[in-house]
Amino acid sequence: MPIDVWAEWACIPDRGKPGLYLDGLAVSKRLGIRSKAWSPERFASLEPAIEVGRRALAAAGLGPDDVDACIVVTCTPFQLHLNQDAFEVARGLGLRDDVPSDLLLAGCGGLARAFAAVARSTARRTLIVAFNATSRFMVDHLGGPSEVYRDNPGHPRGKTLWYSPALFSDAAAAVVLERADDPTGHWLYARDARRFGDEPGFDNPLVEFRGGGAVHPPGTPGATTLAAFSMDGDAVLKYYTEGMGLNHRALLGVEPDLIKTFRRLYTHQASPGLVAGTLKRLGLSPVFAPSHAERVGNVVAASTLCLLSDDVERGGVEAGDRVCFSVVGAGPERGAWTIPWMGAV
Amino acid sequence: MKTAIRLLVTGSSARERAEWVHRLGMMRCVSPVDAGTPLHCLEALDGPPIDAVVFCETVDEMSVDDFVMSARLRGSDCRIYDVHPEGRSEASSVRRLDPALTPNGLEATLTG
Repeated sequence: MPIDVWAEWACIPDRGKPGLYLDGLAVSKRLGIRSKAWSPERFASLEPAIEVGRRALAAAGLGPDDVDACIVVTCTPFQLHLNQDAFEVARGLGLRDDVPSDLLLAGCGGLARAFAAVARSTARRTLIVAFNATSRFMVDHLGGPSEVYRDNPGHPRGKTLWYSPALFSDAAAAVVLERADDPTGHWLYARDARRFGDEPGFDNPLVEFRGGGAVHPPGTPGATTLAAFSMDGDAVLKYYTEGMGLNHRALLGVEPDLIKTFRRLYTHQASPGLVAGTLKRLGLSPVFAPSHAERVGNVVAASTLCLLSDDVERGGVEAGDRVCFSVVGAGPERGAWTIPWMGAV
Repeated sequence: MKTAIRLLVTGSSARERAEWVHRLGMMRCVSPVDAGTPLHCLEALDGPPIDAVVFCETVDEMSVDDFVMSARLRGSDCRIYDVHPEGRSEASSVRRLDPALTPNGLEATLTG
């Protein structure tokens, strides 16, 4: 969706000009994105998540009985509690009843936690489904833009809440991980609570959603006001830039010839500016580390898998290529991993 | 010799910006540039590294909070100062720059 179409729908109040709204150019200048993946109609159910799971299995030449574990990663679940999204995905795919299907509530770094869980498990084949349905969280009951993000003076970050739905976007992607008899990949996962590089632990969550849980239960004063994704821009900048640097140094520690021996590095697409700055700082070319943030926005945990999927579709990676991932996100948490891409059949 | 602080002055009023550029330019430790309105200033952050941005009192194009968020999402960690007497930002990182300060006080704030 072009950003001017989104802006016309969202009607974000222009704080500098009371009574007026930000147009597409104003939103684009603030965020750096030209368009975004946004479809509350398509993401009205879990079907897009189930569909990408189905396609990932088909691409791997596998059926639902061939999977030993399933992890569904999202920060926008359709049902908040009792693992219902992961159960519904497993039912929709027809996975075996003895296959655990876990909902992993996570932001942009969630895929690192999923990969770490897989690396520590003994499952032979794990299906990972990552989806983000931001649009569902900004649409009100009439299909218009939610006041929670547009005009929410009761929220401590009420003036900048609109950045979340403007930046975060809709997407679903899936991959099947197969454990090799003789694994050659590497992985790193960090919450950075005790140490963050050479600094003390980093405890800022980057993004919060405080309403609707046990602290502010549904129906109590403040629950609706605080039921919004709110970003701490200062913390996002620090953790993203330094976290991506730490991830990269760790990758180079185990793969000193990373750029020569790997086909791609898929980096989390936090925002066009953050990605561009990180690639420049780390000396990475946009071919080796492709970007889509300007085109689709930040699709959270699905971000790097979408980059891989795009590459597979246009023949950018082939079976046997080694690829690596580096992600950073709310929590905070981050991680990086390398895998041989086995290809799609 | 210490490098001067690379500082942008922004706001809606050209007169206010010019006054602040002149005032800050008197200090040896500061190298101020009139960056125009906040949206222009935001684009300037994509250029050579900037240490700090000073918001003049009159801003009617873009709020200080929008500026902070946009600057961070652009990858800029510049310090942001606001001369508005009441403070008008929800971002804890926005620092107050008191227009009543003496040149020494201003210098101490900007270099502190």
